[in-house]
Amino acid sequence: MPTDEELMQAAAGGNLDAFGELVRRHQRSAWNAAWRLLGDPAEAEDAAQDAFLKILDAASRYRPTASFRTYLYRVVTRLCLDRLEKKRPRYMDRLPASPSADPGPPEALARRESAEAVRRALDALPPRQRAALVLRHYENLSYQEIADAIGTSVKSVERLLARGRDALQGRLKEPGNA
Amino acid sequence: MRCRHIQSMLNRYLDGELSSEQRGDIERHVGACDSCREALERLRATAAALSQLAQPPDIPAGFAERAVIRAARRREQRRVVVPFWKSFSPAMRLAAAAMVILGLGLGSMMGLDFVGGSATPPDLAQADPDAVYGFDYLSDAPAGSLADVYLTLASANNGGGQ
Repeated sequence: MPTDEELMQAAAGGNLDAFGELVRRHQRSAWNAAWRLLGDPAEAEDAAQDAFLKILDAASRYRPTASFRTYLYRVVTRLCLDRLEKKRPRYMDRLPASPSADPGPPEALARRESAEAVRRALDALPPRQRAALVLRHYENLSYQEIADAIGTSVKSVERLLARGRDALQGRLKEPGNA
Repeated sequence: MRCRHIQSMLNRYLDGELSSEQRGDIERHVGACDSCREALERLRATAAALSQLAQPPDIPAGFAERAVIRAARRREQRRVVVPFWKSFSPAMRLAAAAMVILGLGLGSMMGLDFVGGSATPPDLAQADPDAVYGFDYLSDAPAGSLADVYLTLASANNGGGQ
C-alpha cells in the first residue's frame, strides 16, 4: 500500500486517482476538525474540500518534514480560522431550535441540552482559542502539532488552551448552561 | 509562590506535555495542597464538559468523489486558459516590443514641441519694451496710445486734478 508521501508525489504528477486515495484516507479527520471548528455541515464540507484542493495545488512543493496528517490539520485549521475571523460568532446566526414534537427520554434531552450548551460556549470563544481546544481535545494533537497547525509557538498554544478553558468554565457556569 | 508555579503547569500536566519528573512533582504537591487540587479538578471538569459535545455527523456521502471531480475540473480550466503573452511567437513578441519603444520615442518628441519647444525661459531684460510698458502705469504714455487717451479722459473728468 503506498504511503501518503508516495500518493502526494503521484498527485503532484497529475495522478487524480492518487489524490482520490489521499482524500479517502484522510477525509474523516478533515471533516471532523472542520465541523467542530465551524459547527455547520455545509461550511465544514466546503472547508474540508478546499483544504484537499489546496494540498493538491501545493503537492509539487510538499516536503514530508512532518506527517501528512499534521500537514492536513494545518491546512484545514487555517482555512477554518480565515472563515471564522471573517464572520460573527455562530451562536448569533443560529435560530433557536423549535421544540420537537417528541423530545424523547429525559436523559437524552439532558444530554442534548448539555451538548448544545458546550457548542454555544465553544462558538463564543475567539477563533484561535477554539481551534487550540478542538485540536487538543478532539483531534489529540500535541502542543507542537497545534502550534504548527495554527501558525504560532508552543508557549502561545499553552496560553490559548489556558484562556480557552477558563472562558469555557465561566460560560458553562452561567444559568441555563450548567 | 510554589502554588502559582504549580498551577501554571496544570494545563501541560493535563495534556501530557510534562516529563515524568515534572509530573511527579505536581502529583506530590497536589496531594498535599487543597487549592491546587481544586484547580486541577476544575480543569478536569472542563475537559469532561468538552467531551459532551455531540459527535460530528457522518461525513457527507460522495465527499471524496466530489473532491476529485472539482480537482479534475480545475485542471481542465487551467489547461484552456493560455497566458496571453505566451500565445505570441517570439518574432511577434519582438515586433510588439519594438512598436512600444517606437511609440514612446515619438510621443516624447511630440510632447516637447507641444509644451513650448524652447527650453530657455523668457529673459525679461531682452523683452519687447512695449509689451513690458503695457503693465507700467507710472511711466508717461506715448502720444496716441490707448493709455494716453485714457489718461486724457480721466484727467478731463477730474478737472485736471484741481
